[in-house]
Amino acid sequence: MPEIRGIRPAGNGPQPGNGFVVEMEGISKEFPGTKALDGVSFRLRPGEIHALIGENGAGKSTLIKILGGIYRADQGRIRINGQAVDIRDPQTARRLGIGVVFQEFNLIPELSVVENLFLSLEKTRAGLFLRRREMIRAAAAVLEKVGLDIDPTRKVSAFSVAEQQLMEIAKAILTEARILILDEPTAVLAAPEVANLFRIMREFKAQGRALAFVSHRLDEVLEISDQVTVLKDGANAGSLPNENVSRNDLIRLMVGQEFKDIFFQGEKKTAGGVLLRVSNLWVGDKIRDVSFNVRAGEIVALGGLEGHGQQTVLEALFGLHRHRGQVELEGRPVRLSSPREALKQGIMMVTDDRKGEGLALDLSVLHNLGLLNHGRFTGWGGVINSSREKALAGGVIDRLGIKTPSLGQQVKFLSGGNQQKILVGRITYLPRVRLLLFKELTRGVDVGAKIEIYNQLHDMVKDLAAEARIGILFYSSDMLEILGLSDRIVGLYDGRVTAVLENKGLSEEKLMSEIIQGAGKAGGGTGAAGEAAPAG
Amino acid sequence: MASSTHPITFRERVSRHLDILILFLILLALIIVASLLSDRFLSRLNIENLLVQSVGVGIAAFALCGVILTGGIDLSIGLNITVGNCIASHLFVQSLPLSLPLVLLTCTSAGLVNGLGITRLRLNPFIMTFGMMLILQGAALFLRPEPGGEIPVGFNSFLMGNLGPIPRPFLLLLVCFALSWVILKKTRLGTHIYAIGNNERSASLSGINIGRVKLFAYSFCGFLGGVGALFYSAQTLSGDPNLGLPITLDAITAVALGGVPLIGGRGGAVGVLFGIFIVTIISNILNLANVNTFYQYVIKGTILLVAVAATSRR
Repeated sequence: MPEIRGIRPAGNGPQPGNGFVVEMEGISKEFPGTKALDGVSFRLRPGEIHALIGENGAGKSTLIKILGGIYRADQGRIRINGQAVDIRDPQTARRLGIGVVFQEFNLIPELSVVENLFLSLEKTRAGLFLRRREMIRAAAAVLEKVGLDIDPTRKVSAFSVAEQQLMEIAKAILTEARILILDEPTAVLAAPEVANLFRIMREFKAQGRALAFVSHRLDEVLEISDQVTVLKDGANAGSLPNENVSRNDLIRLMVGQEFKDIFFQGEKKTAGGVLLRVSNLWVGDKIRDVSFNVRAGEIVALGGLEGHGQQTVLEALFGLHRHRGQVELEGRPVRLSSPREALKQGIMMVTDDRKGEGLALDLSVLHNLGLLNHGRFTGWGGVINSSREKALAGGVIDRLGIKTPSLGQQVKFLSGGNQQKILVGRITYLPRVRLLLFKELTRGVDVGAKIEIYNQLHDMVKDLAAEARIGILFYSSDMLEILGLSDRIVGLYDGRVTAVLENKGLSEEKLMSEIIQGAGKAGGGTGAAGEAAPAG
Repeated sequence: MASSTHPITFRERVSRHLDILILFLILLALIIVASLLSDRFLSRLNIENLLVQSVGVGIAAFALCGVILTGGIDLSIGLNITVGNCIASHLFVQSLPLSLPLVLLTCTSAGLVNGLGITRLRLNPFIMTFGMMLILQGAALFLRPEPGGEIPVGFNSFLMGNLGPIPRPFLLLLVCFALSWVILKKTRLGTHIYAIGNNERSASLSGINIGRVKLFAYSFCGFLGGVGALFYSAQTLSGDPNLGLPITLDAITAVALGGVPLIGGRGGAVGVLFGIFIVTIISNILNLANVNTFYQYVIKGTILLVAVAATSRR
């Protein structure tokens, strides 16, 4: 194993004013139920492109949001140009010369490009009237700088996502940001657009500005960055200069060495016939020609780095995206044009967004469990048979070990883990589920509850699979979860299937590199990342 | 201008002004229908009448325009005007120079309080202004339990009457229109109002002080309410505690018809001006055709719903 060079222990780092524009030290941030950051340090030099990488949930976005004034750190110090600062809000961040381009853009689609670029920084006469012509001229100039040759008086909504990304960068240039932070800037870009973005980033760097960016695409990280900082589980896993660093080094830092043995390790049942056959699935250009099977009684995971299409595949199978290609369920082609259609076919999705999509937080445990199918306990005219309703709910609660003082408890008072169990428990109420889709099984669930959910879910899911001959397809950005729960793994990279692996003797590291390396073999001419690897 | 890769398409050019074009056609159709229904419609007297009728609703509509563009609403605007009118009916005879600013100030403060409740106490705009409406109704009935009081005739002859061929109050409406248009299209405040109506979070992340912009919008709404009160006082020469509610309803209809959706962020002063004319002409037609008040309410309510439904899509 090659030694990983250049990991700086926090104490040995250069002292304040030692040529760092940004110094974040001992940053901690806690959200209800999760510790997002725990004593993280991050330093940025002028004229440097600094990549920030890590698995989903490692804390990259939280760190960036603290720097951008969206969140405030619970603990830790931030220095900008050697001065201790308190970044209270986005305005403060901007005054300090920090420009952040967030993953979810902050452009206002109904306003024109020029209005967006100058929003809250309008050039005015007497502090009141807009100097429109002047702003249009300045906008055109800055847009040209980022390679956009467009009429700035058009509405933002008329442009593609890639173009909007460049507008965001133009906006940051206009604020004369000395420190530019890009949160997954390449996630929405195709190869030529990535090349253009990199050109702009290098120009920035040449002007002595500091750049930090988050990416999940390691090729890009290796190509463009001078320094790489890796976060894992809300803590620093290392920071190293990009010299002779290999993908494997980065992967090892990202996933860590230890393989926690917290998963159910039962005997694998023999799977039945093919339940779901997906052939040549396309969703826009996000999912490209994806094919795979799920057999009855089998648990298949969609694996890979975050944002490479796993979620989109699941959502497409639940009828949430327009797609091309063929989907067969038990040998019959099905059209999945809406969730309603999917449910009719016996395809059910359990969401990761418990609060937004899944649960009625103010309703009781009882009512949340029964929400999907009152038919199971209603009599003539839709009148609820409450003893039957309670009996059913009680059974589910026992089986899943849901901790609640009573059936009447409002769901919002339960922990994240127990809320998740209620979502899972609903499946019992459905008459004929054939395919279960799980999105991010345990997002926002603390470790203790995670283990419980794994065990109990796995039991239940295996029971269900054995009884009803159903199949399960899930997606998680947690590689351990994928390894612990699945029978087979379909690896996605850049919207393509790059590996299909039986889950036998796989390590987290091996899995990641199979999926990413597979991209090199499978990647056609259109792959964004494949060609980007540095020559030397 | 550099625009080689993305020239503005013809469709885009049309769609930029499509709303106004549609409104113009609706207005034209209404004028044709009205002139067929009654030969009095295009008489000089009726046209002057129409222009004056459009003023009260119109000022209220421009008052509401900015508020609705931020995604809010002010249900108290009609009662705001009423209270201003009731105060005027007591004090204008005593000292116009002192009491006129007082009316404007009172109405502006009512708007400011709405804004404070919405931004500081985080009250829902609908509830805040509904509560304010009830409070102002109480105040109006306290000030003037029955219609009556007195407005100096001099005030009437100053505000009413014609300037050349154009009724003076209509000029007042045009001033309100111009003021709204300039604020919305030519100042940074206007841009911020649109930004907030479109996406409050993005606007905030872009560094806009949301609270301040909203406070301005509601206060300006109250101020224009005061201007409306001056107009009604001059027109009726008395105070009337029951003036309010129909004004609110007609004004909301005018704004919605003018292409501003109730979630805000889109549309503008020109559209609202058309909306005002359309609402006024419909009322005029209903009166000319001697439609029963009962049906008038039903028809107006229906138009309000249709207008809101039409603008809230897309």
